[in-house]
Amino acid sequence: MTHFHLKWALVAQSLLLASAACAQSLDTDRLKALEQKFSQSLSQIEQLQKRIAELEQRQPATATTSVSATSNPTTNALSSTTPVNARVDHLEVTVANLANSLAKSPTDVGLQLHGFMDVGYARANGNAPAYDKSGFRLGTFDLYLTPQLGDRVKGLVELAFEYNHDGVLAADLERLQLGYVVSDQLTLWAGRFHTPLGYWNTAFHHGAQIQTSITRPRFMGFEDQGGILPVHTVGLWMTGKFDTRLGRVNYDAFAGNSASLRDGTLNYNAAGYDHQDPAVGFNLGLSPAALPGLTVGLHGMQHKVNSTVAGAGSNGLVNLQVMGGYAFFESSQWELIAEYYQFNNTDLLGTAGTNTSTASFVQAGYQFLERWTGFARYEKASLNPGDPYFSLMNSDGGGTNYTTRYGSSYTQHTLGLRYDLDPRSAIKLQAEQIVDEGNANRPVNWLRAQYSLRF
Amino acid sequence: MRFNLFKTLLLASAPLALNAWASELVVIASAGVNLTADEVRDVFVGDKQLAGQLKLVPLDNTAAQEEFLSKVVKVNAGKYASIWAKKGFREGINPPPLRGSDAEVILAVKNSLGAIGYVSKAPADVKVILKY
Repeated sequence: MTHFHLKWALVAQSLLLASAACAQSLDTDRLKALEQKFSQSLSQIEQLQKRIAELEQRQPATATTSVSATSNPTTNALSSTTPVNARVDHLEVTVANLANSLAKSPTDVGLQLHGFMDVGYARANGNAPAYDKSGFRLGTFDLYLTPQLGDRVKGLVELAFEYNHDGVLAADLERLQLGYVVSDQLTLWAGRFHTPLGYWNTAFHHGAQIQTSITRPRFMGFEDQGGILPVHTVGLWMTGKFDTRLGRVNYDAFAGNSASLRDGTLNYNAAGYDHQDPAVGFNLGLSPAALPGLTVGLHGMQHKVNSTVAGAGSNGLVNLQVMGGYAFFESSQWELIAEYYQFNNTDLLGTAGTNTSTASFVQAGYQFLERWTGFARYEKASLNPGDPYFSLMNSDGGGTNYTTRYGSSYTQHTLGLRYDLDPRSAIKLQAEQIVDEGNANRPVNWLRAQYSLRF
Repeated sequence: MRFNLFKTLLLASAPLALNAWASELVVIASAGVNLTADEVRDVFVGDKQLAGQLKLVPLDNTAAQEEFLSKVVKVNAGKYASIWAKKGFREGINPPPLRGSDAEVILAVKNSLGAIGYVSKAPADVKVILKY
């Protein structure tokens, strides 16, 4: 019995050895042949390059010959019709093209164009505001360029095309940044950039495909769509990272134009400030070496926000102060994001004094069966109605101003499922329930679907 | 009997194990570039762009990418693409250009200051900075 097993095992071993050796031998032979061919090609190229160099050195003499040849039709005819010369000319051009191609810097990949696009469908129950319609929707067509101009100078330009609630197409120069890499620890940017608050705003922003869910947390909405945070800044931004014994520290510090409220909507003042008091802010994060994938941090910013109403001039001035913290964890299967914002806003014109409000969210995503990700998010904004910063957002009475809902307290639950068709495209389904504090008995339920991709 | 069966199966699988062990991954770089394994990972995920004053130019290699991502970056191809999508979008950094073979990577590393790439066999005339 033992001999029987041993015999079969030896047969199996021989077969495995034979097949492995055979496959390896075939692969090795093919590789050797390819390597040999490539070496030969390189050698030929080098020889031809040498030949070209020799020819180029002789060029003045050739030119002289050519001129003299013109005066001697017989010689000229002989020269141009010689097959060897024609072949040399042809080879010269071919090798020059090849040499140019090989000599091209590996970083010289031209101006790369990247982008995101998404389309979707959304359906709400009867409690949704009239301006927020159900139906098929075009999402955002977002293009961005990342020109690298030399070793240290770089740029980032992002252009987003999107439809507002009225179905009007808007083109927005989302980012226009010029940067200089001083070192791995410091990069300086100037221009319009995504305000480096928390994790979400700079990580995803208009990148629908890289964002697990369909929507962002509502209180982090874009300024022109009712957001309550200045999520863009026009000014200067310094950012970098360095390693410590505890782990990697990431930092951001920025200064720019203070945002304004124009007819209740936040404006980041791309064309200059309303007053000289700048907006300032920071973000300080630590990725502990002991807990790979985790980043925890603190963030804060301050703006002096001037509020104006068309035809009526200034109607308020508020010192917007935001402080908070965030945590982000990512592993092969989990994605956890939590952000917290505390507002301590001071009325600088009226008598409302300093008011405190809070907004936060926590989102968890779990990837399973390779391409599926289930996610859930809880978000809550407790915004003090006596705070002029929020009450001024509602100052137009809720006509066409989308911030009417956003500048008020709410709670939202979101559940969803994402399927990655490939690494660059995803289909997402999402259900959400929003309970506005002022309308608690009429929750708004949404069902959304989205198809998004990046390129 | 069981012992013998186990021993023979072990022997039978030896060639396969040896075959896997024999595959090599070599990180090569142009002159003047010296990096640790952690730094190589940082270079290929965009966290390290300079070595002193020298601008680093990472190059991906289709022929050895799967092994490199598994052994050095410790992520799969999908995750690697995702890292670069986020990195490019946030920080305006372009992902490493992709080369199709060891020979192309070797040629590019030879000809470019600050270039760093990986190949499946140590070349004779290019600086090897790490072996896996």
